[in-house]
Amino acid sequence: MKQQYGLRIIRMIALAGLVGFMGAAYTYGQFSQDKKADVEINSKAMPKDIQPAYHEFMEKCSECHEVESSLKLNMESSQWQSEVKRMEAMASSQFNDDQAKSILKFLNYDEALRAFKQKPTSDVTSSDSVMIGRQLYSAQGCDACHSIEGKGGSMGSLDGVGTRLSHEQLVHRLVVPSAGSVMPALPADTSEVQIGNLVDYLLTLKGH
Amino acid sequence: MKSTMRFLNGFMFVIACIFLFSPVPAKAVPQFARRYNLKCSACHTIAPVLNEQGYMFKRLGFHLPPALEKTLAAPSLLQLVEKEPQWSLTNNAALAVADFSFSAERVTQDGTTPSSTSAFQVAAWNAYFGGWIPYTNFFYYSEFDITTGGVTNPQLMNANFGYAGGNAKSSWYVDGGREHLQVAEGTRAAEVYSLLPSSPLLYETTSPTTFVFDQSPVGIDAGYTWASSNYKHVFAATAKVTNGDNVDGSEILGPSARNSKDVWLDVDYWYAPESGVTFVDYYGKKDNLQTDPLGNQFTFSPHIRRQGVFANYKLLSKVDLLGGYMHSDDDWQVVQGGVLSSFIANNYYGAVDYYIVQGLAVSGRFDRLNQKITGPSSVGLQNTHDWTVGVSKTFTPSGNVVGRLAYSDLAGRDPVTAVGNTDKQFQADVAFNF
Ligand code: HEC
Ligand code: HEC
Repeated sequence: MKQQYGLRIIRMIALAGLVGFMGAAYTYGQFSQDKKADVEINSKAMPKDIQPAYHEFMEKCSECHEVESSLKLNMESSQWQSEVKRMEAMASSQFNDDQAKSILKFLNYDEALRAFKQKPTSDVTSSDSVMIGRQLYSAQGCDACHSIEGKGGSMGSLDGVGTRLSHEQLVHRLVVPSAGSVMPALPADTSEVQIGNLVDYLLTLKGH
Repeated sequence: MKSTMRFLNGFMFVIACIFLFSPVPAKAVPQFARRYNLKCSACHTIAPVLNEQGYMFKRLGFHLPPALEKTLAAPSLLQLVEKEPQWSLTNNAALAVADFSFSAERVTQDGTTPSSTSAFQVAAWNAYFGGWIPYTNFFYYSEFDITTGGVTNPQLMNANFGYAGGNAKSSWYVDGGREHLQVAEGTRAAEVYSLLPSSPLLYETTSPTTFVFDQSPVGIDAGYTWASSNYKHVFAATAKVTNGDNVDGSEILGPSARNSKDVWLDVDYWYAPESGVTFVDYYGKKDNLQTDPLGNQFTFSPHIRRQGVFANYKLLSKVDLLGGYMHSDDDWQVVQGGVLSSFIANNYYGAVDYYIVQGLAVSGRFDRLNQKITGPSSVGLQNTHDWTVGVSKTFTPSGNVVGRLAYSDLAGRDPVTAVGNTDKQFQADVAFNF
């Protein structure tokens, strides 16, 4: 009987302590919430070929964290590539290389879109065509192979391509696949206007 | 004294209600998810069922398992520690993991009138405190069970302290204290947790020797874990040597602490994504309070043995097929000093969990228990089987509020007296994890 009494007292003290402690933890928690970045995604406005990639992204990249966590960073195409690869190597991640590619397609598109919405930062002329061309350049993953001002892939610098090649030559280079080249053709549904945008952007690369 | 307790329980209940029902800002999830700004579903398929990431999280001493890319070296656990977010109280304490349930049950037993009951109750209210000591590989974990099955009986169920070393691909840990035999061990089919409200019979049913697997003795626990790139394969082995509980899992507070040893082994193999095999071996020798046919109580010390294999296979990230088998062989004595015979049981279960979308699953399970007592008191081989079907759904994007509906239908005969019984039960419950 005596022992039981002691036990009860100990339990009560433990309980009171715990409730107090949890209360404090809870209150504290109210003031230390992580601030989420505001990320808006308008799926209806997306091009048709991006839609499936978007759904893949929404399904696979919101499994462990909110999509806001995935999108809050501004990253280059090559950075996204390694980030998606890193996520694929997490325990319990359930997507394969093909799905990763599809997700990357969306991420590059989204990144380009947001870059487009932001104010122009570099010395390119502010004409809309150039802006869109620049956006397409990263959305199509050109920077996986090419570098501009030292940034991007290692298969060839495009610095100065605007002086090296003419408008016609550039259009030709993009539209007609050259035999034996590793450079992929543009997607079949790329419009003439979009090609024009890309070329307008490439023509601004007068560099070194 | 009683009235003080009653007051305290009432007081706690009010506090709980204030915390549970006050408007909570977006990110009110338990400490681990809070710590990394992750959803519950990072580590659970649907809480509390763990996935491979949750399993690895525990094995690395409560550090987030990093990406294991083929081309990169696995970080050491000390490097993981450096990357941990700053230690804070809310990152390490969960106020309440509470489960409110409504259940309606109809029980029959040969020779007695059937009885029906229904109840709304706080099925469980537990608080957790767990995490790591800043900048070290030391970790700690405790579970305080405040209310269980509608009964408020505060108990420190788990409290342990340990150290983890090695790197993310090849790690080990040692810890000591009071900890559950099987919780958070094993691959999916061997988990004590299930999407359904009850675990498989082989984990839940009390043997005639009153032994239950669901207990938390005091002891030491050591484990080794190996993981390949992308966590394609994970191999883990764990051993626990414990002491301190009676056969039925109750704490030894009286004078009979002579015989209370457990040895527990668990070998797990995970195969990505989310499939696996577990082998479990348990041996114990513990004091058991037994009642003889004349109603006299006596104590004897049976050997208790359990061996089990469990496996699951997850198809297309959607359909989880699970199965398990466990064999028990316990000593059995009818009267004090009488013949020592055996209680032998073979238990198996098969289950399917179908995850329709993330956070919504339907489940079905069939359990069968074949039980027999050998020797002069034998009433022959008896069996019990149980069907359970259910649906689970998360109610918040992070997955910290989970609702379940389940129906189970059990029928069988008990191995000591061969009395037949049935139990049909409907259960609805909502679990809050804050
Ligand atoms: C299996 C769980 C899981 C999946 C699936 C997952 N992530 Fe993650 N992600 C994590 C974890 C855990 C972290 C935090 C720890 C870290 O960064 O190492 C994280 C962090 C991140 C970060 C860094 C956030 C920051 O604030 O630094 C980004 C970006 C990210 N994830 C993007 C993605 C993308 C894109 C996808 C879909 C391809 C994805 N994640 C899918 C688990 C996952
Ligand atoms: C898989 C890698 C790869 C990708 C992706 C790629 N390219 Fe190329 N590109 C090359 C290679 C290699 C060359 C040079 C050799 C050749 O013509 O095959 C080249 C050549 C060029 C040239 C001619 C450069 C010169 O100085 O003559 C232009 C212009 C060009 N690419 C633009 C683009 C644009 C725009 C994109 C995106 C739509 C793109 N490339 C995507 C690999 C790539």
